[in-house]
Amino acid sequence: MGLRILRRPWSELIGDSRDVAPEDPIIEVAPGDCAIVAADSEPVLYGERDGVSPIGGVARSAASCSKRLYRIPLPIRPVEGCLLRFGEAEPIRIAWQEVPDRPDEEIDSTDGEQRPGREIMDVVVRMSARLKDLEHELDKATSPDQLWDELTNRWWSNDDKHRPTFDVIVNHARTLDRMVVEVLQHIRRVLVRTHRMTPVSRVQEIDRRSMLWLVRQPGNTFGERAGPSQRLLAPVRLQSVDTPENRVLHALAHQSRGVARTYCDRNRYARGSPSVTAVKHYERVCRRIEHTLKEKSVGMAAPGLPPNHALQHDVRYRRIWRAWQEILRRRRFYDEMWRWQARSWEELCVVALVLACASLPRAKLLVGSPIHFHSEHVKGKWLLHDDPLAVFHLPDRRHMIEVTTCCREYPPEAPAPGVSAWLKISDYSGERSRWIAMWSLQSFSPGSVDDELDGIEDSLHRLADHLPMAGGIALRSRLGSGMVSRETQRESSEQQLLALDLGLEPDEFTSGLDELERHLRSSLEHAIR
Amino acid sequence: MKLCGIDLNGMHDRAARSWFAGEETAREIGENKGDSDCFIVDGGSAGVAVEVGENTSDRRVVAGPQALFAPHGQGEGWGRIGEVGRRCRMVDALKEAENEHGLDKGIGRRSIVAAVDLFAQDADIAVFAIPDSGRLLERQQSTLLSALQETRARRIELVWRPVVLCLGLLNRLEPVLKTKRGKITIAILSDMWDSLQVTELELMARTWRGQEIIAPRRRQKGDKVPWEGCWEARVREALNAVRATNPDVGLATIERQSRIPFDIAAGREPTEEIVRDESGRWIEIKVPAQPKHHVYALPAPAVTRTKAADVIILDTPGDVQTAGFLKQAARRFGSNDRELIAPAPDTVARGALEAARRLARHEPPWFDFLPGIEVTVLRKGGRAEFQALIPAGEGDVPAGEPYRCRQPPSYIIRRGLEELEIYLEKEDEPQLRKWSAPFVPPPEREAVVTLRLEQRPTQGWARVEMTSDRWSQLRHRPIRLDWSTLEIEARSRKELLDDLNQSPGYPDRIVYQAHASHWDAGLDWRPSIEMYLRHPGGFDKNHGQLLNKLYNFFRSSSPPDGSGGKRFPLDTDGNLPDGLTEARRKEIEVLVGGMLTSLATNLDQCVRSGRMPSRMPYPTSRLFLPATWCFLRCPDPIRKTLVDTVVNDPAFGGGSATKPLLLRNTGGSTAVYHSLARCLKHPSEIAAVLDKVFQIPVRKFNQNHLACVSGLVSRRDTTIELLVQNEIWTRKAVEWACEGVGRFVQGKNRDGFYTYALLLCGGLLRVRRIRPNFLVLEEDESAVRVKRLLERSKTHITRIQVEQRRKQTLKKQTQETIEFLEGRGTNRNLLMEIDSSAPA
Repeated sequence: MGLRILRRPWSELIGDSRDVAPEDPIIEVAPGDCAIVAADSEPVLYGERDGVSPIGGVARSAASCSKRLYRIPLPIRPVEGCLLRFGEAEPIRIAWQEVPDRPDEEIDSTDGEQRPGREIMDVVVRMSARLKDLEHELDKATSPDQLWDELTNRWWSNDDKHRPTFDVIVNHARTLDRMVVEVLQHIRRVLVRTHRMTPVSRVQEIDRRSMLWLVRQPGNTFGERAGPSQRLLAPVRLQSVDTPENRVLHALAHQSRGVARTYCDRNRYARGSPSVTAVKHYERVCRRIEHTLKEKSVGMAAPGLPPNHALQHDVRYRRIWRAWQEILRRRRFYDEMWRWQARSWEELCVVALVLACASLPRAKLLVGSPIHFHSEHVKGKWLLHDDPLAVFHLPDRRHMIEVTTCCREYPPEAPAPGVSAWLKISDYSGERSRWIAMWSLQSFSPGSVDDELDGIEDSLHRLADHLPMAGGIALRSRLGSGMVSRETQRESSEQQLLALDLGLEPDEFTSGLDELERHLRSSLEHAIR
Repeated sequence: MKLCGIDLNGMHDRAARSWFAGEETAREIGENKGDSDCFIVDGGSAGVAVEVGENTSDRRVVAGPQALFAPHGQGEGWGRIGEVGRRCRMVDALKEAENEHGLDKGIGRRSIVAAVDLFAQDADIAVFAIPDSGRLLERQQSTLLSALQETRARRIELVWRPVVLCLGLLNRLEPVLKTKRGKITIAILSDMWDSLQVTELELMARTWRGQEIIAPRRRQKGDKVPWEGCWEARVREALNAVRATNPDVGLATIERQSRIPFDIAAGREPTEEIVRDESGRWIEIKVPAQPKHHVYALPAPAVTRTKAADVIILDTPGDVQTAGFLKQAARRFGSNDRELIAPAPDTVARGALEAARRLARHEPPWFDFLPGIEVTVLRKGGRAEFQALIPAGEGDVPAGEPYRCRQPPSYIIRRGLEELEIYLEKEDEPQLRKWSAPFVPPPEREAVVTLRLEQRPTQGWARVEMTSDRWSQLRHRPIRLDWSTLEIEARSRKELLDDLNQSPGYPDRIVYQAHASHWDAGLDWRPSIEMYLRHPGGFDKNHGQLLNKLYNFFRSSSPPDGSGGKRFPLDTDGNLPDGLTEARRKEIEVLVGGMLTSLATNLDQCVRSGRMPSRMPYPTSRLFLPATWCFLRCPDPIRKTLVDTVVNDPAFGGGSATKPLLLRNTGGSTAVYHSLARCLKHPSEIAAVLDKVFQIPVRKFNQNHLACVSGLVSRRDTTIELLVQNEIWTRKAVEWACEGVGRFVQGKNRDGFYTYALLLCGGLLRVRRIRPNFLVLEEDESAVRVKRLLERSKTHITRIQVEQRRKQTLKKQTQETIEFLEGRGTNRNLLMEIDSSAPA
């Protein structure tokens, strides 16, 4: 089978990977490691339509057989792991040690308690929010030479630091809060026919079931059969609110409450903003609705319920139905984001790198590949573009910077396992060119960034045999908040190295990006010199 | 509601949206105070579309600003993605949309779709401004609209560029309108890629559903005037200048990558730029020293067409500089006295958005004309005519609303009709078109169908549907006219009407000519007649032989001199042939006259006696057969005797109790009925015979009866006249024909019988002489039945046991009869051919 598992994207380069024995039933991944496999054939994930798309380059090991690298998505329950099949071989299971499950923020109702997966989920939500920012810019049909500036303005603006992340719950809080209360006041009811013991004087009709009951009672006359309480089993019509449409309302209120609470929690730094205030109010509304409906013993709709006539044609309930669908879709979206977070992180790193290039002094975008933001991810990819992603012109230095992302045959001269993006700095003639490699790392137990620096230093040495390297960058996503970005740099005569622990809260993120830009500027000086 | 106006022209594309994109939730403009009235999306100048994606399977086309910066299609310096075919200029794509057949599946179509999709996104109503060049007709509009269906926008409307310009400039035009008493003429000169486009519009205030609106009215198509100062020419000129300045850069590289030529053409100040050449190196392109700005004179047709206008709008898709440049050009032709408006560059996009707003309010953005459409209809009495679905010159149709046909024409569909053919004439197309609407399955009873038309100006073809109130099949699923598959009709309108109004043909009646050689050659006839005249009434053996001789002489059909054809001594009207000497003619008249008188006397004697003369050695038919083979020359007494025989036949409930004398012999019946078919001429006699014969139940008639009827029908016009007068007989005759063919198909009767049935079918077609639509397939239900039976008999013929030549003859005759039923028969000799092939 020849399957190897890698701790870091560059492990294959420096010979740090370990072989997987075919008889191993479970491969354990430490929380601080990346789950990357090097394999001959594309892995197929059980329960997944597509396979897993490869990351940059071909790993050419000493044995000269070329393998491709694949990032394995994080399952919803990482400790249980996921099943993978490589070609014809027996499936193997990859499991993560001590990585918490994806928190169920829509369903859990425990208050105040910090759930274990919360930190990871926060990162995932912020990551998707950053990527969404790019999508919104693309929707405006902004010209590519302004796109990166606009994005920079957006992220560095003061507004942004106090801008809560976008969530569908904000929309609901703004548009539905009055409506749901109104629905609760005039809730749809139905008359249900059921059988009850009814006083003889109130019995209006007798049906088959009541008659069967009646003949089985002792006595000769009705009076005798009605017993001491003088009641008969008779059909009655009772008012009920336990209808599918009200169950949907119940489910919506219940799930929205969870989502709203998490949202307010996650956006503590923007406490006073209108969105958070609105969501907070909405949470209270939902709580009230949930409480009332529970009292009226209305059940909870399960996902996959087909909409009935009221849900489709009653103006109010139709909106409730749509809102519920949106909440369910949101859940699916974050499920997917959770699973492919390593891939999304890689995309965000590439965006950060382009942004850093764009903010180099007098850099001008000359060519940019059109970027398409997928409405559904393709094997974890949201951004679709060709390579080179961007080419910047530095007119005063008479140099070009080309940004290229993971692509099978690129660069043609060197093995490039696991590199997320390449920067190629060259003059007009293209004869003098220097390269900078960028890796993205995602792990769940932060170790020292210095260790990463050692890793990339070693790999750059290997790469230098094939390419004139100018430096290497490792961007690592950081869990938790409240700490400033940590970075380490190392300068040698040849290369400039940077390992950066990038937080995703607004302040940390921008200061991290500033650091990246600073480093890039000095690398550039170094490379052109 | 999300509304969008799109100005896609390839030179500088823009769109105006009624909402802000790029925020968390799409926010409608006007929600917040201080919003501008729309959000302008700038698509960039010299628009292109590129094909992105690594694999051929997931290639997409991207347009707009992103495409302008894309490396795709920029040449070999970019490696694989630099393939030249991956880039398409928007001007070329738009030119493709003006092709004769509209957009095809190529990259042009995908480019336009990508651009509109980018601009309109998921708008509820998007208005796409199209140039009024006279090239975007209904066909092109339809293909364009069907392409735009692929975008995310929910509804896309095409609106003329001059119209949206007026709408975008309403605030400047309104004051002018007030000074001119509520109606002004506006000329619009549009500086498009390859020409100058000239359009005139009227702007007026009018009342629409109780509200005062100001809307332009378009009365005629715009013109495309070739102009040496058009964009294409300007860019070409600038390109040459750039080449001259940069001699060491390849032409292809400059053409594909440099933006300097376009900037010069647009009147902007170009800057130096850097491009990648074929080998992947970067090269600088220098700006030509003094970019020239010619002022071109406007073409003469444009000048003349704007003479009557109150306001002239100079429209250019470039920016302010280009507009100024056009204004200079216009000044030169001296229209200073009139108001010249050079609109802001985004006016078209804003105007299109205004059109979208009006559409959302169900208010017509403008009033347009529709090219007339006429269809063929059948008036009472079977006259074909053209009726207007849209009358020519329908000139004041509110756009955005469907125009409906005021008097929808109806058609009566006979039972079993499989297809209805309708011819259409469009005012703006030179040739007629034929629409064959198939009925699957055909109606089970007579149905009335109606043509309904719905058309919205500039939204492609009119929607024409064939529906029916009573016929549920069509009521639920109307037949939709597909304009793209209509057959082109070669005939002109007049020729077509002449052809349609020509009544369907019918075969000639049976007339056999006489031939003189019967009388000249051999001269056997004279002694026989003379002998007969000498011994009339001798009922003996010799007498019988003599009568036989005469009978054989008169019925001989092949002339003795060997000349071909079926010719008798006397023609079927009883006349003598031409080419006889006067003496001979006299002689014949005397002898034959005498013979006929004697025969009549003999027969009379015979019949009067009520019984055969004792020991008569020959059948009684010999006494009348020589006379009846003289056809109409047959003397009246004999005819009368024969008719009486049939009338008195007890089989029909006739007067006599016993079987009439003439029918008693073997073959008597055959002789009588065939004779009747030959010699009857007076309407009263024919009527008497038909009356009797048609009393026979349909299932009971035999070959002789059929031969008699078919003979009478196919030989005598009198019979036809009688049939037309008597509907019952006509129906009977058709029934007989059907029954005759039917018996053959069932194998009950042989081919001889079938020949008479066929003769009857053919003979009945002669009713068309008086009633032209008789037995015409589309109009006569019984024709369908006859045709069906004949079709079946055609297959049955192959199975019967006769020689091959006979089969072929029968088949050919059947086919020709069918053709007559379908109204396209041509063989006028059909009846004679059928009769000749009948067994003797």
